[in-house]
Amino acid sequence: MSLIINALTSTNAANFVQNSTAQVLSEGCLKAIGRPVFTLADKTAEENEKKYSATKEFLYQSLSMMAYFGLIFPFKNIDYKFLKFFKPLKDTDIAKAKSKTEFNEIFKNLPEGELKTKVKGARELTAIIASGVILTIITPQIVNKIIHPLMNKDKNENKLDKKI
Amino acid sequence: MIENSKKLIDKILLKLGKSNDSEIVTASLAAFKLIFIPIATMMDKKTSEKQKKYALKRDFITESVALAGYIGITGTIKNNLTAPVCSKYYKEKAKELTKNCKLDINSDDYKFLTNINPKTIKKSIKETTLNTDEKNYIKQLENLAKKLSLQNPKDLYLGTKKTISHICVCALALTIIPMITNKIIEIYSNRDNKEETDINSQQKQYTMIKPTNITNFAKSARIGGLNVLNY
Repeated sequence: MSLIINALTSTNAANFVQNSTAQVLSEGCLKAIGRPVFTLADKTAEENEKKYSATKEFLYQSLSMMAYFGLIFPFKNIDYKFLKFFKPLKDTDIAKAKSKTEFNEIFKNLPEGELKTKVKGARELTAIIASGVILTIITPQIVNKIIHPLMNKDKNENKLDKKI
Repeated sequence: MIENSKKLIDKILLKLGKSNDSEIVTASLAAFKLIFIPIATMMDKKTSEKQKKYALKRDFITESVALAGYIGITGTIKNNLTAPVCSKYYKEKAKELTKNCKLDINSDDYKFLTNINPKTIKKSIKETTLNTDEKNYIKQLENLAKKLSLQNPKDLYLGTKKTISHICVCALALTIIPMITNKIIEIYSNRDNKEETDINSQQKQYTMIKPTNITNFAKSARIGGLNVLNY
């Protein structure tokens, strides 16, 4: 019991889960395992329907992780450019920053208060929107392109096995 | 209208800036997926209609359950579990400190720490809602936590809430959401199968009474309707 309480109240755990990246990655990895397993366990569907859905889900979740590392991290270096699109921040100095270094400098010197919280919030919001676009618009299109060669390859191998 | 939208953006930015809970990110992504993943599945032209239909049904149900689960279940669990866990933390720490001889089991501090009121910890997040007694209670707890190098009640509550929220999200993603999806699909397909059986039996009846050729029809008509199903 005390182990569970220690884990739940740990400051390290709280810092880890505060990060959007950690949240999306841990959740995505669990989805990549859980969803295909449960899809394959569905007794009401036909074998090829289940296979298509499970493969699609697994590919999608795995590719999402790669897309996250490949695109979201670089995006976080340019997210300060989007601050000017938020009305409450439009006329602030931090929204006018021309480079990441300038942004970091201004952000560091900002006093704790409403403006700093709003800047943090705006960066989180842009990260959520970018994740949404990358993970739900771009990644599924890539999945659609690679799922059929993969499934056909599997079919061909099965045919070969039967012949042998 | 413009004022309202500005206020709404302000609220969203402040909320996300203060506390970025797991369920906010995951629920927003689930909302995106609820719209765009089924669209992507529909755009896949190389798949058979049956496979597409099953994948679409599964995607839509999964993301709807996820959206409801992330907001409803996670919200309820974290709101009801965080304060008792924090209270338990102080109790466990008091016992640990007693074991290490840093706290006397008969001292007032020990008794205080082992009987922390979870409701007051929860209320302490919004200081304006506390009455004088509760303010003193939290102040006493803060001082004691500082003295014994324990976590401050406010930081403890916020941190624990985030951790519980994330654990709930993970549990939902790994097992609960796909399990509920399977159950819903089972109910749907049972209903579809029943409807299909009904239609099939109706068609069967129809083919039974339908004359195969004009001679049979003439025969059955001559019998006078009594044996129409027996020709």
